[in-house]
Amino acid sequence: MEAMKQLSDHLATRLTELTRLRRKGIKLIGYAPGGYMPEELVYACGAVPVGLIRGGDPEPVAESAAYVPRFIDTFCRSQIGYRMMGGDPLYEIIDLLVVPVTDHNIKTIADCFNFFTNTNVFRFGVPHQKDENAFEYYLAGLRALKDKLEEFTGNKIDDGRLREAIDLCNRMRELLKEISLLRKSERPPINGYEFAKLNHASFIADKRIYVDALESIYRELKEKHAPNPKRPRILLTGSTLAMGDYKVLEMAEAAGASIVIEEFAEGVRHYWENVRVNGDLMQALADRYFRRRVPPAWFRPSRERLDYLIETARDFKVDGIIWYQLMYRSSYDIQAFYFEKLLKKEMDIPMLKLESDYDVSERGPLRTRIETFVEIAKARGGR
Amino acid sequence: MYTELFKLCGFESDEIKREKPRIDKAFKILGIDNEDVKRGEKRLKQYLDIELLGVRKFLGIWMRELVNLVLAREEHEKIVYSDFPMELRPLMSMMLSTDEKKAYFATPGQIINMTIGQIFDKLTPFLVAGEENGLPPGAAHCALYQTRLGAMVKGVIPFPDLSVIASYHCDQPAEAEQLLHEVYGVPVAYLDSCSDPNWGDWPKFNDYRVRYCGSQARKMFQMFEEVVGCKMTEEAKRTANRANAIFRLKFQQLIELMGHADPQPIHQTSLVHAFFLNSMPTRDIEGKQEALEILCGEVEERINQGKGVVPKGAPGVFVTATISVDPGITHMIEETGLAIRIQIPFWLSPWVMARHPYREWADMIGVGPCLDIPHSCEAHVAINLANCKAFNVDGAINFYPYSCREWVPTVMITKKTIEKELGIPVLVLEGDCYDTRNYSAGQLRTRVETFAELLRAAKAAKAG
Repeated sequence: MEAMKQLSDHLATRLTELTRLRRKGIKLIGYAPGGYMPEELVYACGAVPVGLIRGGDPEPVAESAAYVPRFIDTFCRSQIGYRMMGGDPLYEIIDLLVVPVTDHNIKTIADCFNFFTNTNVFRFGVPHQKDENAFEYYLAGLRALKDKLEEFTGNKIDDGRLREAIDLCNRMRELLKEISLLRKSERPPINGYEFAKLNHASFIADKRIYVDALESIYRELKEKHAPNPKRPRILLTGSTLAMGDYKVLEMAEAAGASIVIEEFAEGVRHYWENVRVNGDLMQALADRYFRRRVPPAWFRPSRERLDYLIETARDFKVDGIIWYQLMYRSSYDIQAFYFEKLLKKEMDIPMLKLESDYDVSERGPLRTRIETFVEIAKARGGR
Repeated sequence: MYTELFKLCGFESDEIKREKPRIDKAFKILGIDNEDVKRGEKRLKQYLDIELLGVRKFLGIWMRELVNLVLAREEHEKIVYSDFPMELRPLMSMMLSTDEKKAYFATPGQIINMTIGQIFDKLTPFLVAGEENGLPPGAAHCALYQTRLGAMVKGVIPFPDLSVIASYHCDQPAEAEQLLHEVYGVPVAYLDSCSDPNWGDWPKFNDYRVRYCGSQARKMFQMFEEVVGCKMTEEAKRTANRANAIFRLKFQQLIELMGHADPQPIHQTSLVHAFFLNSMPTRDIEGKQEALEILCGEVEERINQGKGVVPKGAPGVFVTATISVDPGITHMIEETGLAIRIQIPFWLSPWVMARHPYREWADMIGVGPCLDIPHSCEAHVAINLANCKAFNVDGAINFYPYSCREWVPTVMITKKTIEKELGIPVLVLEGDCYDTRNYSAGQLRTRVETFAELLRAAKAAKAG
């Protein structure tokens, strides 16, 4: 696809572009990609957001051991490792790191960047349930973030600029959703690996170029006739799907399955909901990013997420679920236990729970388990 | 078979005789046999200053609670559980609003750990049951919550009618209780908050953090009233507040007495059962206060007599989290000739004592996490540092529980901060407060011995 290639070319030169922007005095705002940081606020103050979403490499995990013991989520340790190793310029050129604190794993990134580097770090809290007090708390955090961004960039965030940024981000989410929904088809025109890469590009790319690319990609995919529909359809879910951590997607596709939908707390862009631009815009952001967002496993009660997963699995007519979690993300490890029981009761489809510490030695066992799972799904679904 | 054991736990003969049917029943359910009792007696004599009446009285409170816990379903209408890190005041205020016969309150994880773990060294079956039922091994799940889940699943203790749990300090209690809710249908009230202050904020905190946690406390009290069918009373709140403050401040006096004494007058393990009564609700308020008064007097007497459990002039250390199930770790550190001046979280830092403007009960509960370690990593490190300074230690042993998500991120930051700020060495040890299967005092001994040598040499050099 031509548009995909153009996007890929853009990403290849994006770092140079970001460096140029920074030299011109434009602030680069890095953030932890748990889906609670409205990029709209960053755009509205004339800065550029950069999601820190790399993962899947063993070296940063090893590097992080000098700064934090290993009993913290692998992705979070990786972020510390990437910064300390100095191998990825994106982790070094950011002017401010914003960390929405969801749990102690994510908080560790902020703590280590604060203590061991000279990075500016700003945190705000994400409560673990959704009553009105929690909503107000999250909103208070967003207001504090707005103040911080205004102070940091020297630019006021007015409603006009914020509305413009919301429109742009809404369009991006709409397009990602449209493209994602194409996978409901019996013959999905884009596979899970390609979609994940496309999704990840949204964290780095220039938003206007990205949206233009999505428009073209969507048009092309709508017309595309995909081959080989006789593959088990899989829902991939878990704690974090980082950019570069594509092993499960690759292995599942290679084993003969189609990942037709994914749901992750971190690392991917959440696109199901848009910001409703009526009334107070800060409230509208909090409404979209907190109240209406599908909650991760560390939310209570867990029923909203569990119901969402079941509903999505039905909606996309999946034959099985792969639950992919990272080491020491206890919320996912615990929820997997009771979700599997619920899945059995509600849908009677198989679930495979996988765990990774981004270690190379995991690949062999992971491949065997995924291949076996796909064979089971094939045998049960008759696809 | 257990008369001697219960006497070591401060029971009088009359009480043992009177309580025999209940103890027999509870021990049968718990599977405690003669061999366990003998092991318990041996461990009490080996690790604690069991000759002190104060120590024995504290043990007694925990043993009574163990029996109460096991028999709670047949003796009470409603059962309410909590556990670390929930603070005591909200629990006590709820408990004291109820009639003793009607509702039983407990922190079952702590009770089992303090008795089945500390005394009988028989925790493994509970841990395994917890691992098999949703908190699997190898993933660094909190062993406290594995223990309580395992005990419920095995039928040793009843499932509660309500669980009240705090999620402001660490992630796992609430996650584990969500499992209890989803799989076993237990209603759970969460005391939620966010550990989100920016670096440099400590000891400041946002008013909206207090208000949010306060709103969660209100919800928790409301759920308690609905489930248990009792109204919270002002008298209960006042009594809880007063009793908590009196006990906590007296305990503070005790550890300050201990921490500045040379030689170290009693084993640090002898303080554990007293300390955890700062978070375990018991209706025996007078009993625990009396035990503390007695223990304070006994420690003072030892200091006056110049008696100690390590040599006079021994290097003093600050130690973190070796408390709980395995007294062998703390004991081993003392055996290497180090005086443990202070353990975290025994001492209340000046920030906890600071005045705040909140007077409404729920907001007073909400402000608690903002004044102490749950404030932030920065607070955790600052409080560690303050401990070292206040007790003028020669070194620190940062024993961290590997399954504690709150603690783990602070380990290297604490080490570097103490070494840089105070110029004293810090030894990092990895272990667990509750699950002793993956490490042992023996394994750690070589490292502690080397550290002790280093501190002795440094102290001698300093002395000139």
